[in-house]
Formats: sequence, C-alpha cells, structure tokens
Amino acid sequence: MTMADDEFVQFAEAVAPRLRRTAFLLCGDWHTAEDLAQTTLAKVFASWRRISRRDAVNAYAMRTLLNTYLSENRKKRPGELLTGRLPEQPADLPSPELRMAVLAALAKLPPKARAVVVLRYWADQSVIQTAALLGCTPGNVKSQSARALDKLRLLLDDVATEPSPAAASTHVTDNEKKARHG
Amino acid sequence: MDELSLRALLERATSPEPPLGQIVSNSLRAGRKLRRRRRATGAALSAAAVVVAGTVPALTSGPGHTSGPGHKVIEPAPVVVPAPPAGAATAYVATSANTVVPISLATNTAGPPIRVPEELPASLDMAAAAPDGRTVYEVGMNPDVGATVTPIDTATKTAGPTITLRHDEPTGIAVAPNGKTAYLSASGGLFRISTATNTASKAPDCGRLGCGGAMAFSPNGKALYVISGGARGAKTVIVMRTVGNTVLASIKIPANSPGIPFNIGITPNGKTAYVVDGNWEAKPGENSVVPIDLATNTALTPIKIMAPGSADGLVIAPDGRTAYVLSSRAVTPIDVATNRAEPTINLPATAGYAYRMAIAPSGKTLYVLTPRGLVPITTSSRTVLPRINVPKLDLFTQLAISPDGRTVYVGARITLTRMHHGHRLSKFVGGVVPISTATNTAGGFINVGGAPVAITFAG
Repeated sequence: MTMADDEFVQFAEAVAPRLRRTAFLLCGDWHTAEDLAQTTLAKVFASWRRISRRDAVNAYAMRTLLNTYLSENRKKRPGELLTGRLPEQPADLPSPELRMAVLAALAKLPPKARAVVVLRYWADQSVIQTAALLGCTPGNVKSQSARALDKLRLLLDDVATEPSPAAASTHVTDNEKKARHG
Repeated sequence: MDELSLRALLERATSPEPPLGQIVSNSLRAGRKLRRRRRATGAALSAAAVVVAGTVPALTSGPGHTSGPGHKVIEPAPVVVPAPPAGAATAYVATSANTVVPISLATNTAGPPIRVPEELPASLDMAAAAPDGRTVYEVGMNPDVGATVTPIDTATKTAGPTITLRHDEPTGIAVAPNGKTAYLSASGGLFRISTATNTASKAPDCGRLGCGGAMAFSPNGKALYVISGGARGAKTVIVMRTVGNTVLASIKIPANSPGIPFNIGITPNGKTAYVVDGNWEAKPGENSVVPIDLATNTALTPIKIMAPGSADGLVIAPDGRTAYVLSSRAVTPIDVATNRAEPTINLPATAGYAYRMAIAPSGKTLYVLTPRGLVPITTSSRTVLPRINVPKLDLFTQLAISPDGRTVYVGARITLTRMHHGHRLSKFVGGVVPISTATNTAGGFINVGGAPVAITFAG
C-alpha cells in the first residue's frame, strides 16, 4: 500500500461508523446503509489524490453520500415500503419500537427533506453548510427544515413525550387517522 | 417535540447497530476498480477531444464563459443614486465565530470585532438594522435555548443584552419603518420586540408560522405581511396592523399543494404583494408566484414559473414595474402591470445553483450569487454579463448591496495553505469581498475571522 492508501484507510476507519449511521437515517435499513457507506468511501478513494485539502475530505464524503442516496432514490422511490400506519407505541418504548416509529416518520418525508433533517439535526451541519451540500439556497433549507419538523412533530409527538399507556393508545388512533387522511 | 428531542430520537433510532462489516477493505477494493475505470474512460474521452478540437473551430467565450478579475464589463456607473439611510456608513458582518465585524464603507477596512455575549453562544444567522441606523439586531440560534436576538449599538459598537425566545427556530427579522418595533418570525409564531425596552412578546392571533416566516412591510409602514406555512400545507398571508398589532386579515394562498411559500415582496406603490410558492421536488411549471391584490386582500391567479428547480428568491425592481423570481438556475421576470411571466433568463450552466439575488438601488443591475461567482444581469436588456470571479474563493454565502449602490459585498472564505514538514496544512479564513458596481471588479479580501453569515448596513 502506498502512503496515500494508508492515509485513506486511516480516514475510512475513522469515519465509516458515523457515515453508516448517517446513511441508515437516510435510507432506513442497515444493509442499504452499509452499501451506501461503502460506495461513498469507494468514490472518495477513487478521488483521494485529487482531494488535496484533507480538511475538506469530510465535506466531500458527506456530499458523496448524499448524492449517492439521492440518485438511488431517483431510480427507485421510495426505498422502503410505506405501511400507512405507524407501529404501535407502548409506553415504555423499548428501542426497536422507537426505532420503527422514527424510521416510519422519516420515511414519510421526501428524500431531500429527509436529508435536510438528518444533516441539520444529526450531522450537525449549519443551514449554510446544508445548503452547500444540497445545492440550494439557505432559505430553502430553513423552510424545508421547518416543514419537515412540523410533519415529524405530528407523527412523533407521542414518542417524544412518552405518554402513559392509556394516552398512548388514544394518540396512536389519532395518528392513524391523520396518516389515513393525509 | 423540539429540535433537542429530535436529535435524541435520531440518536436512539440508530442503536443498537449491527457490527461493522468489511466496509473499509471492500471500499478500498471497489475504489481501486473505480479509479481504473475512470482512468480508462478519461483516456478515451481525451482521445475523442483531440479529434473534435482538430475539426471544430474553438468556441468563443460568451456571457458566462469567462472570466478573470481583469476582464472589462460595459456597465456605466448608476446615474441616480438614492441617498443612503441616515448615517449608513458601516457594513456589519455577523460571523460564525459569534462576532459582528464593522466594515467602513468609505475605506473597506474592518474595525475591531464586537463580541456577542459569551454566556449565550448562538450560531448567528441573520440581521436587520433599525431605520435610524443606531441599532443592528443580530439573530442567532442557541441549541440549548432557542432563538436569540442581540441588539448592537452602532454608536458605541457594543452588544446589548441578548433576548431569548425559548425553543423557537428563527426564520426572519424586520424592523418597522417607525423604528419602534422589531418583528421576529419563528417556527412557533410571530414575536414583537420593543426597541425601547428590548423585551419580546408573542403577537396574538398569528399562530404557528411553520415553514413560513417571510415578512414585508407596506410602503407606508402601517401593515406587516407575514407568511404562515401551516403544519398541513394551509398557506396564508397574515396582515397585521403595526399600530396596535391586531390581525386585519388572513389571505389564503391557492397554490399548488406541495409548494412552500418561501418569500414575499410588495410593490413600491403598495398595490400588489407577490408570494413565491416553490417546490423542491417540482417539475417545471409546478412552482408559482401568487399575486395578491392588497386593496381587497385577495389572492389572484398564480403565475407559473417554468424554470426548473425550486423557485424561492424574490426582488421587486425599485421602479415597481418588474418582480424577479430566482430559481435554482434561472431568473424569471414578472411584469407587474399584467402579472405575466416574461421569458426566463438562464444563468450560465457553469455557475452552479444560485444562492441569492439582489438588485442595485438604481434598478439597472440584478446580481445573482452562485457558488462559482457573482452573475450580473442588465435589467433593461436582460443580458447576462460575464461572471465575476474572485480569486481563491471557495464558498460564497452572503450578498448585500451598500445603500449608496456603489459596492456589492459578497461573503466568502479563503483557504490559506502552507507546507509543514512536507505536509500541506490549510485553514479557512472568512471575510467579505467588495465588488465595485461601476466596474464589476472585485477588490481585496477583507478578513473578518469566521465565516460571514449576515451583512447589514447601518451607522
């Protein structure tokens, strides 16, 4: 391996876990997330010698991940099956149910809006960084975040506030109604 | 659910995670393959290019195919220059380093940075100046608190105590023409800030603004028009009396349902408002601009925008005859007299997605900011002039034209690189680049430390 290859391996080992987690929030399943992260890193490696500024590599990898995710979604959209109803949410919310509820809610967002949520509220990107990554205006990012948050709030309020079992069952019914009637 | 708990939910949604497979070694293998394939394709393409170059005359450089900083652009200096607001002698540049740097418009030199109070570090976001030029309101977002507003006294160049609005994401700020009230729109609603006491209160009857938040005052300053995005796509324009702060009307926007009401502008005669209703995932024609008759407070037939990408920017020419709508790669002029879209002005394909747009006070030139430079457009002939490149810039974020119309300030970062023991070390420095509107040439980079996030003009 050359020195550049060594450098790449060091970089890839450091970013792979987080890259795969970000990919998971974008696509909703671990197998696709692993594929997305792997494709992203392969593309980064192919351009490794051209990326002379090492401090720009993280941004480059994030942009590559987004482009890969968005272009996958253009080909076959949506990537997961939408069920039209949220999974039941028991009061103590063990992780699998919580994960299902969050993923089901994220799946209801259009791909770019989902990318905005993941970038801003998970990957700690600012409005301007998100705009630069997605190729749109900062105003667009803000409006998209606000709209996506409103939608998520509607879908996830029960999960976020963790209500009592009785309250949870009524809220699920309300949410089902909202989901059915759009 | 607020932003904080969303982060916690996302965090918890990713756990537990399956063991990491052979991502790194697999990507190395796949990357090598990809590199070989690229080399092969690259060689084939350059062979083809040699053949083409041998048979076709070289392309001449037209608008958008230029340019270095030394190119000449035929754009006379504005003849009519409106007087700047009282005492507007300084550009205030808010930075990502939580500072506000004053820049003298006369000398284009930066003064000492004004530090926004340390106890509430907020990522600064936008700003507005009071009409008398004595105060600049800097808006930020603190992840633990919510929206923050910090008044800056332009006479003493000091930051006042910060006002906080819990759990609200700020979307817009505007100061009433009488200077008595600053309005902050946020996801949770509209807030009034008394400029005398620097206290905030929620405007009644406005409700959640959701993805709305854009605001505009009527030219006489008596009414404030605020876009409400609504949670379920109920888009309205709320008309609020600035005296007494009562809601006068709520105008429904009858536009395409997936659109987001990004922007609002009002013609100088106060007769018409335009709301840009854009859709990110839209096909050409699915974006629209909704004219609103302000005499009757009714929305008129939406005007379709045929340019591809989301329409979101809006400026109205100072003479009130044309409204310009910015899409990802084009500008669409709207004739205010007929409410019809005129032929689209396409931006150069090499410019990248447009970020922002501003019009010179003379109305003669429209400036569109793209990641690869500033694109001037002559409004009379709708001609796209050569892109103004600024050497070494790698990110453009902000665009503001000084009130005297002489200088366009573009926010930028430069990368400083040096070699250290055989390694290339680089760091980013934020600043602004002044561009003369008389010659369309860029001046020297003015260092402000952090990345510039908002530019405002005041005393």
